Amino acid sequence: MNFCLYKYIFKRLGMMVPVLLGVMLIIFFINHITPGDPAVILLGDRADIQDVENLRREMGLNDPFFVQFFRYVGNVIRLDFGTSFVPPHRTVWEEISMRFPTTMQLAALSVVFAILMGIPLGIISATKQYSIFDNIATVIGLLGVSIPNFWQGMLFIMLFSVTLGWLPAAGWSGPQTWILPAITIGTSSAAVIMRMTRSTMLEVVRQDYIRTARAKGQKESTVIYKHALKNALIPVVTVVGLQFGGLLGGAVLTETIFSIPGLGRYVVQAVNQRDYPTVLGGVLLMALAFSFVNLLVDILYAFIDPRIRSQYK
Amino acid sequence: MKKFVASLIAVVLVFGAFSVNVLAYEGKTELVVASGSLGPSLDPVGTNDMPSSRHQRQIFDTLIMMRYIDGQIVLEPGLAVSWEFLDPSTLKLQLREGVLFHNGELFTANDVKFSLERAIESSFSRPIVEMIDEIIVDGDYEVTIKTLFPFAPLLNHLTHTSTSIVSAAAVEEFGDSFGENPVGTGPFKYVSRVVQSELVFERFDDYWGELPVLEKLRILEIPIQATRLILVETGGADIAVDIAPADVRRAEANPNLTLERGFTFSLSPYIGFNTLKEPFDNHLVRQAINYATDTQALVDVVFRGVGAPAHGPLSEMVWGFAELEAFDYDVAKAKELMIEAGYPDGFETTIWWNSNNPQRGQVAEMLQFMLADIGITMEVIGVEWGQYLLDTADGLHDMFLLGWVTATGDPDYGLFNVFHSNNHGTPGNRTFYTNARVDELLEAGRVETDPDARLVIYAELQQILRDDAPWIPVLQGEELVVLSNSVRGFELTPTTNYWFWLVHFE
Repeated sequence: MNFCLYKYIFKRLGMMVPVLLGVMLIIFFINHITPGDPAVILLGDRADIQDVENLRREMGLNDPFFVQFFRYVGNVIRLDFGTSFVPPHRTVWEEISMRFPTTMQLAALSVVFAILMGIPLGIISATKQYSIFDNIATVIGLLGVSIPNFWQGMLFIMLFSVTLGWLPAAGWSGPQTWILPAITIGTSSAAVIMRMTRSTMLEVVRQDYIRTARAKGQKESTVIYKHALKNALIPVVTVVGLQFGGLLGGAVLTETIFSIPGLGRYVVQAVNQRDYPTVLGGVLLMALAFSFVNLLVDILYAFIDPRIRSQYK
Repeated sequence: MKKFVASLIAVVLVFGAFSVNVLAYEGKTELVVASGSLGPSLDPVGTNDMPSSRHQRQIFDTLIMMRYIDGQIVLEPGLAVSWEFLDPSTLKLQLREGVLFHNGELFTANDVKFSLERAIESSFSRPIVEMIDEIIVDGDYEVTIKTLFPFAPLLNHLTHTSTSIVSAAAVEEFGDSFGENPVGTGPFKYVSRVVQSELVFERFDDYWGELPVLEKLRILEIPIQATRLILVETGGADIAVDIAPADVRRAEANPNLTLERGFTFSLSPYIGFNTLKEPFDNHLVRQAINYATDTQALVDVVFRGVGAPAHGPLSEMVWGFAELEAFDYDVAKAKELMIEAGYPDGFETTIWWNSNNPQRGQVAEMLQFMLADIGITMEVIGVEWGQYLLDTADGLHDMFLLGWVTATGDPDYGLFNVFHSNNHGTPGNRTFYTNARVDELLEAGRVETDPDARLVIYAELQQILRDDAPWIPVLQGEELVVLSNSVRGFELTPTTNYWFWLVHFE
């Protein structure tokens, strides 16, 4: 890497600041206009009105919107994400750091699955266009995108846990428990990546330089994997980066179905309890992860594509 | 490609081989329970939700323990071995000697004073202990509890997990994080918690009571009801609590499982009328709507036959429950009453339900159709839970759906907050019902210490409430628990705070 690339990375990192500020403002605003009082929800239907009022004051909910917002931003800059409203009142940082690794692990495993399935199947589909394999792959791809992942997850549990008894139906305690959730989340991404790989490959294999390579008498595998695939990968890599956001979103449902102690399920629970600090912290972190992965993707371009790399020279 | 598929299958098969679920039950000493939630805290005064309370029950003792034997609520000695009312406001308790906390400290009367005073301070547990005025330590193993007014159900209140006895030393040591380092005197002691995943307890070998056969208790958090059942089916858990009504047949059809079902202290939902508003200030209208409501259909359709139509303001399991004449589904009778009340053409109204509880929405929608038969046009409105509690407390509603769990098993807890005219709004009377005779009886019921006299009081109360109809009681709650066939010794309890330490395997 050289100076220009560093400058680019710094610029991109700088651009994350307004993105994250925007996310904060939006979530803060949504929290603010959502009906429901966290103090009431926490204390339940038998609480004394005075207790509710005291708790509201403790939570700082009686201050004006912008006072609350800027206080929050100020705290975040000091890496203080506040304290969860819900017992046992841990700091949001603690709560999130207990769950974020699980969700990232799940997302990473499903990306790996999606890539391992999507790219090879896409290549085969493209090189054997209109063959039976291509048709089957197309149908499977379509199914993969259309089946809602919560339903797929339940089918998987019925098949692999109940009927066959191969894999556990719940938990996150070792490779055995990782397989079903990762495949469940990764399926639709695998399908998207497969379709993307197929169409870009189809475009690339019709290019002159591929014909040239073939004319030179190179082996078909060299033509496909060395010449065609490298050029077809750029759009695919972009899609993988964008899919990552979908994977984090999909984690919410999948974590619930497979009883995985991850961030997605936790944030949804926090939304239901109006645990504002947790919702903010969780969403902020997911936004950060998403931005970061897409930055990585952009940097990756430079390594895959010499034309882009040359811009940094 | 072939290689890839082959290796994928190989991987699945290899992992599959690890998960053989044949378990030897003989000598098994670990119980695994699948629960919907672990609950946020193990601090008895740190929360007021059901799962937390159930899990606190395993590690803490209360002064008095409530058990359900042969259809009867029985109060058994817990950390108190005997008790006596010196006068209707003064209860003297003799405490168990030689009891150790999980941290090795000796249990004394000071811990009782400390625990109860702590419960009074907490907004979660205050509703259970707010009548306590003073706790006097008379000696290491003698304590006197004075209440602000004569309060007959005090014994029942002392069975509630909010009154669990905690180690004063441990609370001082851990402060706000006591919920994560709970120290009690119960049959199990806390080992670890993985958030949203599992809670691990192990047997407390110095427990004062009969030592459990179980050495370890693991509670798994499994949010999806169907998955909880699946875990028991596949050997991943031994007991699953709160099974979905939709899964009843599946559970019954499986010869390897036992489905346990029994009524609870819950009466949820009920449909309430805002009795301050026209036309619900007229008891004839309220009766008419009761007659026009087919509660059996609601139970069969919305709750799939789990539970039963409720016929009064109390759960059948509550002490003093009176068998009342039901408002049978009778549209003709309802129409007559509407005419008598002066609404021959019906009227327009609204019903609210809290939108985090879809079943209540279904009840409201079915009711909408039923009431159309007597000319009532009812709009169904889902309201967010927090807003719902605030607005129903402010009396902005016409009709609404809520539930009530008589957690202490005593009718006072089931009726006083909900129907006394001093408790309008937040304390629990969201129908704003006002009836001088009801107030009088409610006050008499909590002061009277003679059980027979109390039964008479509560029978009259329930009859008045049935006839005056500030509610349409809908569902008598029922619990569904699935056990693996090897589980022995499990007892249902209407509190649903099961005593898992009684379980063993065969």
